[in-house]
Amino acid sequence: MVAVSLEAVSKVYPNGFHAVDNVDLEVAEGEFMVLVGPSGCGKTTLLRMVAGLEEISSGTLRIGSRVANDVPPGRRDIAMVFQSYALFPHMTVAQNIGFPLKLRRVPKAELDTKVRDAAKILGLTEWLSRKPGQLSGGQRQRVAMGRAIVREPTVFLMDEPLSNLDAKLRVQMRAEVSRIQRRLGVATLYVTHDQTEALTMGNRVAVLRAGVLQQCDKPQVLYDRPSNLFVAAFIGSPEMNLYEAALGEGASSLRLGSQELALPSSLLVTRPSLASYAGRSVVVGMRPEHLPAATSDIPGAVLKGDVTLSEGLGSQLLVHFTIDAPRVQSEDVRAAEEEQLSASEVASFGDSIALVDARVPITTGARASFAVDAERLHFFDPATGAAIS
Amino acid sequence: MTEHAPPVPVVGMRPRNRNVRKDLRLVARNVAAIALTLPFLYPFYFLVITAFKSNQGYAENQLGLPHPFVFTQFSSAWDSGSLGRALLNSTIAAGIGALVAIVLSAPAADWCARTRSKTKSIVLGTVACIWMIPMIIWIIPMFVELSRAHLTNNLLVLGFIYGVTNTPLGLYLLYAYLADAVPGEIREAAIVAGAKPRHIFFMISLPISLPVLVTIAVLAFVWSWGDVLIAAVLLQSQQDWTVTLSATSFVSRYGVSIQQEAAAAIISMLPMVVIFAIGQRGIVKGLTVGSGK
Repeated sequence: MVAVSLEAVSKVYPNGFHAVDNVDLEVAEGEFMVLVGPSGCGKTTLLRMVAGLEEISSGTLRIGSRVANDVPPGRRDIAMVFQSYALFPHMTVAQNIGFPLKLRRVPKAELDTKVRDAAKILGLTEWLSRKPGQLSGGQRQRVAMGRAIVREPTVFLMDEPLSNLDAKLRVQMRAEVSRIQRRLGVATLYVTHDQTEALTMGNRVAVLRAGVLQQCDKPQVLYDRPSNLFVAAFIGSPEMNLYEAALGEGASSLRLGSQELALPSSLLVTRPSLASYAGRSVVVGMRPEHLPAATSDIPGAVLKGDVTLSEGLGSQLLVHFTIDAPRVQSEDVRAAEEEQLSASEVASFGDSIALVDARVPITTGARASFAVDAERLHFFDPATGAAIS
Repeated sequence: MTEHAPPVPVVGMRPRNRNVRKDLRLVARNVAAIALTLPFLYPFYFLVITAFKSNQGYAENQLGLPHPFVFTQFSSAWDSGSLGRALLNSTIAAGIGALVAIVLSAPAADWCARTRSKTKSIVLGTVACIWMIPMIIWIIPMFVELSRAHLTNNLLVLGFIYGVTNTPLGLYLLYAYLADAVPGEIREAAIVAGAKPRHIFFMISLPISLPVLVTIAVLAFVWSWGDVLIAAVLLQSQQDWTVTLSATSFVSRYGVSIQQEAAAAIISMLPMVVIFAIGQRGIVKGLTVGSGK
């Protein structure tokens, strides 16, 4: 059964700005769907449209089986958790959690039982008589969750609920939100700009950019088979190295600046479309973690680069190096990079990054070799940015 | 290994000098503050000493302390001015004024705080403009209309006018507070939970703004209590007079009895002094909430 479905949903503001553009999306019952994308990509607008806090300009929204476009927010059978938690400061924790039930005139005894049950799930029992001002950030977040839980809705909507917490608490609450969602089995639409949250929490992740849905799939699929350059550059940290390259005749080799990598013929079996790009330029992507330090210099299977900086992460080494192939500077990549850079400024030092074992001796200023597994390369059309599969 | 003792802070002339300078500054500031209050305190001093003087005592020494000390001016003023009745009238009119100011300004402020409509700025602008019109301009036409409708000499009508006069102040105070204290996300959380505007008003906005509502009520009450002009125009019958009206009319009715006049003035302002003394902290808090984090 589908809990929420969006069919060709758009949001156009009076000034003509398309905040959400023709989005199709389905959230199954019990599914945890994450909407992720850079700031201003329309993910929160989309969520607010599902909540009924923004009007839908065109398209159809279904919650459960009924069309909900014109249903007022309170009757949509949804519950929402806000970024600021939006707790009522003059009410106790119990009153905050019980607020939606009080509005529905649920009998007092039943209301108390439900509030206590929700508080038990969230570990808030001993705080029920406190006011929000007396609670920590994590506890407030849980009260906001409690207010959503008691409604027993068809769908939870969560708008960056963890972004106001400090890093350590965020990791804790991430696991807790996932645990509660699984326990209750309620479909969830969760908005975040944090790709780690998206990948760790979502059953599926929908990547948005400028109001357009780029790809919606399981986190591993997004990572392994990004459908375009934007998703490739946005998902994964440190981000994927993307170069302009040229495929050799018969797609048996790849020219990357002055270096030539051999491509096995099996690659054409897994990615048959690559054959039509033989002899043409392509964009090639390599994830830093798929570039281990080469143990032997087999020609055609290693990428050589000049190390500009190496940063120890304990178990691994983040190696910044340069090669003479041009980095891809398309708008797709820049948009994704902007968001990534705000999270970690890893890419600002060198042209390329490799993540190697910390015990490998790497010298800054020297030339290093990195083993390339051709099966883990990503290919994109340089004109459209679409993945070549 | 030798251990070094931690450096001992040197106590010399400098910190002491600094303390002396700090004390001097404090004294200077207090002297300046007291000097500033003197012009306001002098009339009050004059009022109090006059009310406790006999007619002869006042004639002999106008500015000195009362000698002999008499209380009779208060009882005479109370009886001749029917101040008991007047106090009750004032309480009724000012109480209605405070209530009406709250009842009118609270829903309007809540609407202004929640709406995205452009009408809001028109409403707020219009209210501000009307608020700025001097009372003397509208009081005569209003009297004419009210007397045509036989609504003069009516404390309920007077209270209602007091309330309306104080509504703009209430609207602005409460709107500024609600816009800050009940942000959009709190309203939206309530809307998603199924709340209608009336639920948000009664269950969220009103309870959250209780300190400001109390301030508005007190300010409206005090303003109404102190009014003479509207009361003088609308109340001709002496039994309806408010306490300020009664107190100010001693001079014209009974010749000049400045001592009774002073006693009546003290009686009329005592309730206000008590209200402010009790609620001072709350009133100031209500006035300043929302002006900063």
